[in-house]
Amino acid sequence: MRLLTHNMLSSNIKGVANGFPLRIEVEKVVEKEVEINHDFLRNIFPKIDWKALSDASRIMGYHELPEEPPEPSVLEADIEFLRKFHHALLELHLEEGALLCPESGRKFPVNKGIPNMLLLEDEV
Amino acid sequence: MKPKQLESLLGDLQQFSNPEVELEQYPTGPHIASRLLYTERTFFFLFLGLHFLVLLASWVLRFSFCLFVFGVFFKAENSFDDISNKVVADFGCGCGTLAAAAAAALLGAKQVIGIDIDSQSLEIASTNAEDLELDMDFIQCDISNLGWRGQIVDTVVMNPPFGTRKKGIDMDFLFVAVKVQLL
Repeated sequence: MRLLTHNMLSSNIKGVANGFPLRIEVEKVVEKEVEINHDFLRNIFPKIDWKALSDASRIMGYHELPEEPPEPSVLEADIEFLRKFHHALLELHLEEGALLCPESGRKFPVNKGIPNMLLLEDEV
Repeated sequence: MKPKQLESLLGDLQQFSNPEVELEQYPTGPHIASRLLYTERTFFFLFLGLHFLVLLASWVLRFSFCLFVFGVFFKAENSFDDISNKVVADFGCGCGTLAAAAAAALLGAKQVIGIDIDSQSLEIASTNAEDLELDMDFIQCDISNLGWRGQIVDTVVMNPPFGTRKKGIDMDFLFVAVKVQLL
């Protein structure tokens, strides 16, 4: 599961007011290189929750992203920054571990890169 | 990639080993999957629309809002100028045929995410993605309680269960598909 997906997922447990972002528990991170596309990154940037991405990438062992979101103009000019954004968003995979609901602490296991978000009967 | 090439590629995908009737599991044929991704934009809407119309025709009297939903779904798709640079989701991806078709056919950068309730299917989908060297993420969850933030997904492709086993499940899928693109 890459951080782009993590940036979209939230906990939908009954009674939880804000289930985003899910905390990450790392057991195994895998890096998979993927071709960079600058236009894609520029398009997706405004939709990304930057703090969630930046925090998550740090937990996954990548410390190159700034904590504060950059000005959009940075994306136009700074290729090096785009490369770091690309790496954090699309090339870091949580292969084994868990995602935790930020309010209830409930663990959603991640196995072979696939998070299991199935809820129990009393959580729906 | 030509439609026939995509069709051939999809023909090699592994399918359900023990399809579960209750989940309405069946493979999406390579021919229909490849054509769905390649049809002309306007025809694409029509095809999808017709598919849903047929699906919804039997419900139209009981659920008059569904025509509205159908219309809104159409409208959401109209801002679909550039097929690349999109984030695509496949709800109820099963073994990933449609998701793989999207990943292979849509040129340019795109991210494809497959969602399904069944772990066995997702494992097969994952293997298929690896075999075809396609870059896809998968999530296991029940579509009716998917916690999804924001509007990152641009396009939803799906061949969902029709509701022959679990009544109304088709509407659940349709609803979430529209919600994800509008909210």
